Amino acid sequence: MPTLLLASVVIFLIMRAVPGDVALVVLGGSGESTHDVEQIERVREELGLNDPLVVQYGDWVWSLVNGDFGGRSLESRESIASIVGRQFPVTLLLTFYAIILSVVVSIPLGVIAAKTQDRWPDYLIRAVSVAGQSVPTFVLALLVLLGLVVVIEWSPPIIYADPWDDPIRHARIVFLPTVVLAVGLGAALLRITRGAMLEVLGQDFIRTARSKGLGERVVLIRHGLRVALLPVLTVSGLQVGALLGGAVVLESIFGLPGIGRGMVQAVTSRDYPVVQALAMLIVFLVLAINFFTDVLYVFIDPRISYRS
Amino acid sequence: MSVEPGQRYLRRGAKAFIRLPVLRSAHVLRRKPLGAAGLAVMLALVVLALFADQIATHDPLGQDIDNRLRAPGSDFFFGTDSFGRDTFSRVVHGARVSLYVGVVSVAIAVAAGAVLGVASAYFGGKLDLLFQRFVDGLMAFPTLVLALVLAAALGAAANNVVLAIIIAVTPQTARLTRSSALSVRQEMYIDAAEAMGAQPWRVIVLHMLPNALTPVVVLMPVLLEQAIIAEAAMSFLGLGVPPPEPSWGRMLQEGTDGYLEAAPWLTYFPALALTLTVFSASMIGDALRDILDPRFASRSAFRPAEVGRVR
Amino acid sequence: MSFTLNSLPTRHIALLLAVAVITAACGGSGTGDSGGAASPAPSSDGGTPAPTPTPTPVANPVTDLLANAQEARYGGVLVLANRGDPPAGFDPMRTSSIALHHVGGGLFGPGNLVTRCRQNLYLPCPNLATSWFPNPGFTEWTFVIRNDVTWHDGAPFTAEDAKFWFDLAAFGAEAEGRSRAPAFFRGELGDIKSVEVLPFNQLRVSLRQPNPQYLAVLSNPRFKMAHPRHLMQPRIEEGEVSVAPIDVGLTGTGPFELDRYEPGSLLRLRRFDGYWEKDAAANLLPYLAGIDFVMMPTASVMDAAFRTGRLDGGARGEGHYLTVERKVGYDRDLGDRAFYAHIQGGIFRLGFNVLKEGPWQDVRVRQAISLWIDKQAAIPSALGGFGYLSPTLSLSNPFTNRAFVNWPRFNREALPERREEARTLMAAAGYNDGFSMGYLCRSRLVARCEFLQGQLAGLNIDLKLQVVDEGEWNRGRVSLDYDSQPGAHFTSPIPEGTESVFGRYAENPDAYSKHDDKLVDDFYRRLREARDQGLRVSVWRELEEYIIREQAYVVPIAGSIQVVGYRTYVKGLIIPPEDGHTHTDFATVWFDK
Repeated sequence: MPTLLLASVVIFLIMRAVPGDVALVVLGGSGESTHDVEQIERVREELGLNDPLVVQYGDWVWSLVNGDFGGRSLESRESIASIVGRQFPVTLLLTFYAIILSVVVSIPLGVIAAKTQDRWPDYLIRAVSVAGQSVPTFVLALLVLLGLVVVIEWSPPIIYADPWDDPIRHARIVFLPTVVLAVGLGAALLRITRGAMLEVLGQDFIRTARSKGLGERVVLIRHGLRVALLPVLTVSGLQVGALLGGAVVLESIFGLPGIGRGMVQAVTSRDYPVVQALAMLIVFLVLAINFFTDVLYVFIDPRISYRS
Repeated sequence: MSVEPGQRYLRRGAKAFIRLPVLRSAHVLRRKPLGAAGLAVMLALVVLALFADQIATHDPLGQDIDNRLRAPGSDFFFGTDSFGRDTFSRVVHGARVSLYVGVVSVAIAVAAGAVLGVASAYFGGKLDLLFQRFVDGLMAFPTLVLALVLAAALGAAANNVVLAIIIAVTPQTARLTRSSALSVRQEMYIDAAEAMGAQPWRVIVLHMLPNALTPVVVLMPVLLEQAIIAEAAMSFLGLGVPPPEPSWGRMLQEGTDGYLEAAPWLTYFPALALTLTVFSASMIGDALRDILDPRFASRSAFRPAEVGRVR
Repeated sequence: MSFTLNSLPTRHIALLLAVAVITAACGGSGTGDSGGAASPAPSSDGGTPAPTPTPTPVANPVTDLLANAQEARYGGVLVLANRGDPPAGFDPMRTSSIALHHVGGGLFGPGNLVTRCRQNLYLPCPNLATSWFPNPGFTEWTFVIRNDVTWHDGAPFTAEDAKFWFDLAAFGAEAEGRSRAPAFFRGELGDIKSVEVLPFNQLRVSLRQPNPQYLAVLSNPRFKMAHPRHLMQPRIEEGEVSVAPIDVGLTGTGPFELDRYEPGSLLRLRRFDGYWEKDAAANLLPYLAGIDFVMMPTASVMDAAFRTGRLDGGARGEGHYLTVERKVGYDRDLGDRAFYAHIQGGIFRLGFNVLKEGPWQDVRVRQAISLWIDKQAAIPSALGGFGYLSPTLSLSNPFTNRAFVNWPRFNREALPERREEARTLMAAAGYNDGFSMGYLCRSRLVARCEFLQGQLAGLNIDLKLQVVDEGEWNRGRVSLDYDSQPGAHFTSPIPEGTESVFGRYAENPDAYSKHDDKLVDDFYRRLREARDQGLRVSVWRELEEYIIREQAYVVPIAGSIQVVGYRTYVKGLIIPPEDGHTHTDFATVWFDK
């Protein structure tokens, strides 16, 4: 909570540093128009830009709390609450899919790499991981999207559909962005899993487990992976920011109507109430995912318990 | 406590700091081939950036419309763009932009984070608590999101990206410096220094700071990577380095938005440059962490004893 | 690839925009005669006669409305890309963004009381008014309003609605202590004294100044009536003075009505069954069951979707118009399954702020810059390969001087000599070592700025690009705190309308060049007083030469040709020869598949 509040102060203060006149942006949009001075003053009044900073901040935070999210978009006049309602699920689903996909693919691969250390499966997996880690998400996204058009003359559908409306179209439109987004996180998870597994496998309790005659799979998963997952979780928590940063650019490239693309559009049109609200939401999402990883800790690590 | 051992500890603290960056290179090369490769690429980049004017074969801004969209060849190593500007020279100068943004922002962030973190650890109490909350708030921002917010407020410019990265990264460095400074604070040589009647700032600057910086050094390549990607992404979105300055992100945007088929070299070379840079930073980061941070070291890495106890 | 020195267009050369004087020469055969426009070109001072073929854009497929009416089939949903969300609450009084006007034609109809004719945009055609008559002094224009028009919600459109629109546009509104500013185009709309509703659904617009060209003014497609009185007036009276079309459900009188709008992704329009317009065979328009506009801010993503068959047509707007290089991929994937509209856009130019201290205040410096720039080179590098050279108006415009290629500043053959002369002029002005000059650069049109920067570097002029977003651009270009700027995109297709951009700053804050030259006033006065078409043309050409050649207040570089791809099964599309804001209603479009 204090973290969120502080983030809100930061966002608010940055947005008030706008050198241009927000009122002009409201009036102008784009095109060939000119404006009167009184008209600008009127818009300033309407937007509350003439109030003291503290009052403006208080209004804004209150509107965040009561679900108003700072009123309306300057650009489309849509209420920000409805923008959030429309765009947030898209980003939430995309990040969720990407996290699931990267976990499902990279943790087993990490275990395999650790198990076959310094043999060809290990080298292959590490090479893929290094490559995946090195190509910035947006470069990969462009090359994949535009490459597919050239090579197989296919591109994802252009009109987004929610999974509950049209699951098939939804799947076809989110497939590519999910894969691209998962690459970066997956590569990081893979590397950490491998490293952690190697560490764990060399420790006494694994040797004990093996000597007790337990099956290799049980040793690996029940004993090894469970402990190795802790650093994996720590790193995933740290990677969430990068993941969401990637999602911002990805949504713009793939035309997914999520908060990332909404944010980029709002920035280019200086739709500052929307920029503020969406930035707040992204921060909230980062904190929420971090909180979730903290909770997972409790389940995975036998030593930690929130009761104590 | 006598003065004699105090001075010994002091010397040890200073030595640890000096020894740290000068890692025995032969070992690194043998044990960490990827890290060494990364280091080589990074050095090459630094050379490109420093001697861009000498290395570039053409003026990166010089237009030659009669030679527009030439494929890579002996005249134009990486081909030319829509204005007939030489892509090779632009990529070379782009290294300067990338490294400028990366190095300046990381250097400032590390310095600011170090001062804040150590001061917070040293003074403790309410200041520390306040500082912690503040860091928490800033830590929650993905760098790119913060950069976007800043771009919305201040407009598109290289220095706004630098500022955004500084704001996003400083909390990480500050947090890390603080926690290691806290453990350094327990060390005897700090007590010794204080017992010798050293001023707080003297203790902080001369003793705590150098010793608390190790984990930050480990983090630096990762921060550099973040900064370079953020600049490229912002420039790609048209919110970063303004034209005509060559930036890899903007070159990528121009290349993919209209020339991917007619002139693919406009996309491939900046993409390659960016990927190599990220690769090098991330490999250096991995190697450094394995070497300097024993907790993450895998079995094949250095034994902690080989590096020497840093703390 | 650029469209220079080719065949003449056959259809839109000699179409004159005038109320009384109609000299349409449709279908004239293309010859190499460069004096194809209505009056002979003034001979150039280089002494060269004018037989040189003039640069022309390619001719668009022309839709024969009668044949179209006989073949058309009903049904189908057209999927088009749109550059982004329409700004300013879809209010055409607040913005002329193409992102609004591309979707606005369908929602709000093709025009105002009058509109640019579907077959000839240089002529006004009836739209929401069936007929009109001016008083002898051209200060009062009376319109007879159609009786069969309804808003999308079923309310009838009457002269009262028209009056509401004119009042709102010309005077704004005031309620509860708040006031709404007039439309941004108030200046262009003419100096309106009053607007009255007369019996029998008639409307009279009284002007303070005589305006014989008022119909041409009013047929500007930017003046869309998107403001239903019965929905907006009550809200204005409650104090919600800035109410915009988006606040009243985008209720218009156009051929398509709003079905669903998801900002940032989709605008879904469906056929408005109550639309009034009929085709040449008396069938009700529109033919399509609907249009889906998909918001696609990134051109390469639009390209991908079009090439893989997910779009039936592209977006309008700079950055989205096709370039020669992008079209390569279209051609490869779609071949003859796609065709391309070619619309002449505005001129890319350099206008100086002569009211600000700087070397550009010296006419020799301005002339040197004008001589130095390789204008032809701008077409491939800054305009995507589709472009043309013209001093001010579009090539197909009847007022355009088709002999301008012989102006010393426009012909490329003489480039070395021109550049020599430029250096001499710079030296004479005392700027041998050059100087530094700022240039307001719209972030959307960065390639043009980079082109200029590269060109002027050769003259030792360090062009500092001040990259601005749309908001800063709108503020900056009407201010006096910049050195030079490109000017807004499109000039009115009638010469009188160009005063708002070539006139003196004192009365025209949006002037491309901020100057205080009283002689320019005189030219415009003479132009307004010239009732005879031949005289209008000759005054205009004098004016053009004065501003562009003698004073070089504005350096025109090259015009862009805006290329939009459509699939060949999209029939009945009416493509204007210039101004992509025109004919965006898609009412005559049908699917042949």
